[in-house]
Amino acid sequence: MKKGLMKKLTTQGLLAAVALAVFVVEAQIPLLPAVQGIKLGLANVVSLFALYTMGPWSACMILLTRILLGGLITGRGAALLYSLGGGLLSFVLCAVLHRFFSPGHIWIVSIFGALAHNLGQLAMAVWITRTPALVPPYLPVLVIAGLLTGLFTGLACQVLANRLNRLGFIRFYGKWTDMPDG
Amino acid sequence: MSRKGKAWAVLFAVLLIACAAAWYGFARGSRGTGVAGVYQDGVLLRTIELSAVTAPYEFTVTGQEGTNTVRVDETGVFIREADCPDQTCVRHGPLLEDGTPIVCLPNRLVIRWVTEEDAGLDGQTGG
Repeated sequence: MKKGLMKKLTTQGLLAAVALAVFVVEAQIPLLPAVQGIKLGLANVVSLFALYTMGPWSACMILLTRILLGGLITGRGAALLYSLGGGLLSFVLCAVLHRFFSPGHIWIVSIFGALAHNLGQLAMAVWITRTPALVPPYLPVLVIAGLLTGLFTGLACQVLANRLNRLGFIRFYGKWTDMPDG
Repeated sequence: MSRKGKAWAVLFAVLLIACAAAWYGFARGSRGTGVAGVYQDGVLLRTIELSAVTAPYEFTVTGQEGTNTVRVDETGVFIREADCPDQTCVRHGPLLEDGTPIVCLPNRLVIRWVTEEDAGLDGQTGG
C-alpha cells in the first residue's frame, strides 16, 4: 500500500471516530427541550474540517460512516433515516460552497449548511406528517437555530483548522492549500 | 474580518432579526384556540376541548412504528410516553398557546391547535 493512501485512510478513520464520539455524546444531551429537533450539531465540526483538509470525497465517506454507525449505537434508526434528508442536503451545499469560501470563512459555509439541514428537516417533517401547518410556527425558529448553531460549529472548526494549519499539522485541500486565510 | 465576511455577517444578522420578528409575530398572533387536535397522517383523530377537561385522562395512539401515550390534565396536552428511541415528542412538553405543535415523526403524529379553517374542513368531510 502506498504511504499517501495509508495516511489518508488512517486520517479518515480517525476523523470518523472523533465524529462518532461527538455525535453519540451530543445525542445524550437535549439542548432545547421546548423546541423539537434543535441541536448544536457538533459532529458537523468534523465534517467541515474533513471538507477543508481532505476534500469532499473523504468528507462524504466520514459523514456516511458516522451516520451509519451513529444510528446503530444510538438505536435511532428510523429517526436517522428522517434526518438523512437534511444531512445530505447540507453536505452537498457545503461541498459546493467550500470552493468559494476560504478557510477564513468556514463560519459562512457552516451557517449555510445548518440552514439547509434545518430546512430539509422541516420539509421531511411536513411531508411525513402531511401537515403544511407545521411551516409557520417552525420556520422562524429553525432558521434562527440554524444561524446560531451554524455560526458556533463553523467558528469552532475555523479556529481549530487554521491553528493546526499554522502549526504545520495539516494542510488545506485543493485550491486553499497555498492560500493565506482571511 | 474581511469585507466579504462583514457583508455576510450583516446579511445573516438581518435574517436573524427578521426571523425573530416573525417568531414573535406568530407567537402573539396565534393564541391557542382552546381545542387541541390529534392528527395522524394529516387526518384528525380526535379533538380535545381543554376548558371541558375536568379530570386528567390518557389515551394512546398507535402507528406503524409504535405507540404514543397522550395525557390531558390541568397543565394541558402532552405526550407522556413514546416507545420510540428518540423521545423527541416527550421532550417537547405540553402544547403551549404560543408554542410549536408537538410532532412525532416515527408515528406521523401531530398535536396542534385546531383552527377555524380546520373545523370547517372537518365538518365537510365528517372528520
